[in-house]
Amino acid sequence: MMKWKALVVVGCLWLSGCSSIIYIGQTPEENKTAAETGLVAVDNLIVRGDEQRRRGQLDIASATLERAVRLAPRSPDVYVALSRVKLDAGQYSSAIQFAQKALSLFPSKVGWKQERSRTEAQWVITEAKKKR
Amino acid sequence: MARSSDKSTDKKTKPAKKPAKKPVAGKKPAAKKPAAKKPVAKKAATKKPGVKKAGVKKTGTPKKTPGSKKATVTKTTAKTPGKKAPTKSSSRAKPKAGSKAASKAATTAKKSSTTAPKPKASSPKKPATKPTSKKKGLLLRLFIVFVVIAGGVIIYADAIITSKFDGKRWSIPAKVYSRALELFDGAELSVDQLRRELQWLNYRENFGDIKRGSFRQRGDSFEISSRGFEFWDGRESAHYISLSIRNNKIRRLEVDGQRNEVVRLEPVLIGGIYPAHNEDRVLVSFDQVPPKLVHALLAVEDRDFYDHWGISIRGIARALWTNVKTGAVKQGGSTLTQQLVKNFYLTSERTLTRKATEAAMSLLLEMHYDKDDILEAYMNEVYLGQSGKRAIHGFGLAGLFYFGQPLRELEMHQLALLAGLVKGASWYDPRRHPKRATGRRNQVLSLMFEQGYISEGENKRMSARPLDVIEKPMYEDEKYPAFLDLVKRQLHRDYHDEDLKSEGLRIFTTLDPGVQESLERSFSDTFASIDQQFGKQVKGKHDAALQGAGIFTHSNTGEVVAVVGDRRPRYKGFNRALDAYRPVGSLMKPAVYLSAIEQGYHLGSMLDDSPVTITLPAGKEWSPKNFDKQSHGMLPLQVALSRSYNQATVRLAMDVGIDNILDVAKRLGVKKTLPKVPSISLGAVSLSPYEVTEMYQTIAAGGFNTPLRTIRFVLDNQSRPLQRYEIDVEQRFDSGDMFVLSSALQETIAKGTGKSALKWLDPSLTLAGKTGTSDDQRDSWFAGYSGNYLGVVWLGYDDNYPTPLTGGTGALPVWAKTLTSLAVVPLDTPKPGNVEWVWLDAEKQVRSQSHCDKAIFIPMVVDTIPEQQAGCGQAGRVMNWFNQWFDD
Repeated sequence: MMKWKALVVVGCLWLSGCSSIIYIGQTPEENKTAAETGLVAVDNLIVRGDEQRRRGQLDIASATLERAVRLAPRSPDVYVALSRVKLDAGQYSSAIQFAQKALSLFPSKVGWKQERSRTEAQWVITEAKKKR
Repeated sequence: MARSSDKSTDKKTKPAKKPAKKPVAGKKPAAKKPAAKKPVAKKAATKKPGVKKAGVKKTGTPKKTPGSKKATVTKTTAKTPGKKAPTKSSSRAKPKAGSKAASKAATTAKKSSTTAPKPKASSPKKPATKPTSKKKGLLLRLFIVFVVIAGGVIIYADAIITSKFDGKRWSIPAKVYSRALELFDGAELSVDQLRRELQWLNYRENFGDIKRGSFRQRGDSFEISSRGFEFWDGRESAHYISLSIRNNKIRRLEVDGQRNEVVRLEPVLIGGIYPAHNEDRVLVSFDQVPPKLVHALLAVEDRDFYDHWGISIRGIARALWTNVKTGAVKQGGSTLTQQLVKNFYLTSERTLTRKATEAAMSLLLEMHYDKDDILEAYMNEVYLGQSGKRAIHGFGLAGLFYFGQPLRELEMHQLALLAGLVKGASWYDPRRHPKRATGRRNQVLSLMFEQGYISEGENKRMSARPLDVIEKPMYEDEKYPAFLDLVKRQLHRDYHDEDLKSEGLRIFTTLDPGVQESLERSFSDTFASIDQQFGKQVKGKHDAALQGAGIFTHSNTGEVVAVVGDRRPRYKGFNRALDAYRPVGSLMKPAVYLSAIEQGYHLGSMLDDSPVTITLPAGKEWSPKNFDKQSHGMLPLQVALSRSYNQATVRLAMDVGIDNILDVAKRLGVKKTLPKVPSISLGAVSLSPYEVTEMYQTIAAGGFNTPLRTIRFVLDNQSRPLQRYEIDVEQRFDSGDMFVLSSALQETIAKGTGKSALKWLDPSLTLAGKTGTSDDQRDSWFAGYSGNYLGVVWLGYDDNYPTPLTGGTGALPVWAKTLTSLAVVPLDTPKPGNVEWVWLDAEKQVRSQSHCDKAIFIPMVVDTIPEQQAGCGQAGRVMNWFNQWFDD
């Protein structure tokens, strides 16, 4: 009986993890978590760049994320983060281009974290097109 | 005052300096682009109140006495001009008294004085006083004129002194840096690469405690004490870094004991942009100078520096005594202030007028500025060496030039050598005259001991040390001339030439010294093997040397990491990477095939490679042939591209339309207007290696146009950000179409004209590329890319003489060998959503199965996949197995 209860608890926890996936139309701002490039140092740079963006230090954020691009140039997450900076900076064409670059680098089958990142790239494109 | 300068040697003189200095002095820094470009001048300006302090300091010292005495004498003379005449006449009479003639003259004088009307001599009567008062009046007027003129000169000199000292003191050349090496867990890096990087940065290998700017290696583990550096996004502090390298990847990186960090080493200084007078310096402020260097300098050049007013009577007397005693000019009497005035404001001509001006200006300088300011200016001004045309000025640059280290890292014996070089940088050049330099250094150390700056033990220990001078200067102006040429061209778009040469800008480029040296080495190896393989066939009657050029970039960001523009990479002349426009041959074919893919062709589309004749608008006929002079009948598009068949390509080009091909070429990044002719499909157009790189950059980046960049950011001389050059991307092609094209270019290396690359490179890297050979093999090209690098290489003769090379035998080996020593990331592009891998029966244009005869496995854009599918039964499976087995 205890085993069953434990399984139910684990199952609930697992499902609650899944519920963090965001959907198109929802602003991904609050759902932003650490990126996943496979390189912890690069993930840290992305998080740092994202924090700088939130503080409005867009130029520094851009420099931090470009540094991350150099370290992991084929990571879509880096380009997504960079597209957010361009969006905030009002550089809508650039935001679209970086988001498209990110989309071109996602494999056709992605995990839930990458799916969230892909959704964010699509959201950036939609927002940038609206504001352009 | 033990200034032992021998003025007969060349030493501190700078022949080329003065003519160039004048325009600098006349410069108006406010007109310059970057803000606040006067680090030292600013400091001097803020220290201006200290002038008074200096004055106070001086009046409190007993050493002032000679100066004050002189001032008193002048004052007395000025107040009683009339008394001078009798003094002079009496002094004139003295030598006459010693001779008969003199006594006669004296008698005559006496007589004449007695015969002369007395009132004239002594009577206070009016007629007698009139001439005296007239004389006095004249003298007074002359004195006033003298005072006015002297005052004017002093005011003028004073204005010159303050304007230059408060303004921009020097033209500081821009310094150019490489990229900074980033260290993080998982980064691709070999032990050799890290050691080379530390060597370029002149880190010392220590076996005991490691100090800043040094490292320790134990097997695959490193401990590094980094120096810290100012970047665009802030300062990277000095860190204690430990890491291991396994399987060419960084593991267990710890930065100051913390894991999961990313840290940058300093970038390598790779060159500068120099003004016409070629003076180079790295400014240091007084607080950046190690006190030991100040002690050494004062001990050897001006021991009374902090006690005199700019000129030192005691120093002159001491120098005179030493010179008389030894019977030779052993010492000079100039103070550091006088030396600074001479170097900074005057010429080195040896005239009394110049010497007097120097003395007056020294006094004025000391009146205005405090001692530390003057010493700081001296330490930045002094000439300390020569590197080709480049004159090394100031201790900041001299430390890098001779020891490859910043001043703060230098040890006592090194600082003593620098101080010793002030006497004569070329005479005591430690690279050319190590014995002489050692003697001079030890002399400095012994003077320091005599004056109590160091102990006897320290003197002995330091005198026994080797010079520790690095073999070659830390950076040479001509080390990477082709890359620097490209950097300068890009800089000139945004900066005035004058700013680049004088404002001390710091330019951070994308050059990767590791890739650059690998590319240079590959060229050298390939030229050697071509010479060996073809011998006279390469030279023949033709005496010119086979030439080459190449560019490597980061395939995703467009950052240029290496450029070679000549067979001799250090040659500073014609830069073929940028300026050699050569027919590109088959390198243009991807534009044709991409145009076809955009129009619905796929890699399994069948093309006709039979002989073809095109009628040109002028009525002429054009019948291109394949390189092997054979025809290959019907074949899949993928094979036609990977084997670079001309006949099939021309047919395809005529089908897709020349206009469309030109449009694709333009979108790929070819900026020049291409001729609208059928032969464009076979590359009948001349492009430079740089232009070809721009074109292939778009292909390597998956259809995203990524402008080539050589500069990341520019800081001013105070390390404040001036400009950042951002990464820019623009999607110009559909990702699916590019994936399909890239797959065909991978086939070129796997099975086509580029397969010789597999002699050097692992097939699992799945690299992509294209060979190019122009008519009569006049040009050998290769353009290829991995997941992280794109490289374009050209070989040929400057005068278009035919070579025995194809793209695969000439340029390709250079490209492949370059990659062998780099950490290459496989080309593993994610499959876009609109692409599927399909088994296709190309002949029947139907979907097939893996075991079917002649089935090819290709990526297809979904709307080009045939609906119809054909089977082939078990027999086909067996046949296919055999075919594959034999193919392998």
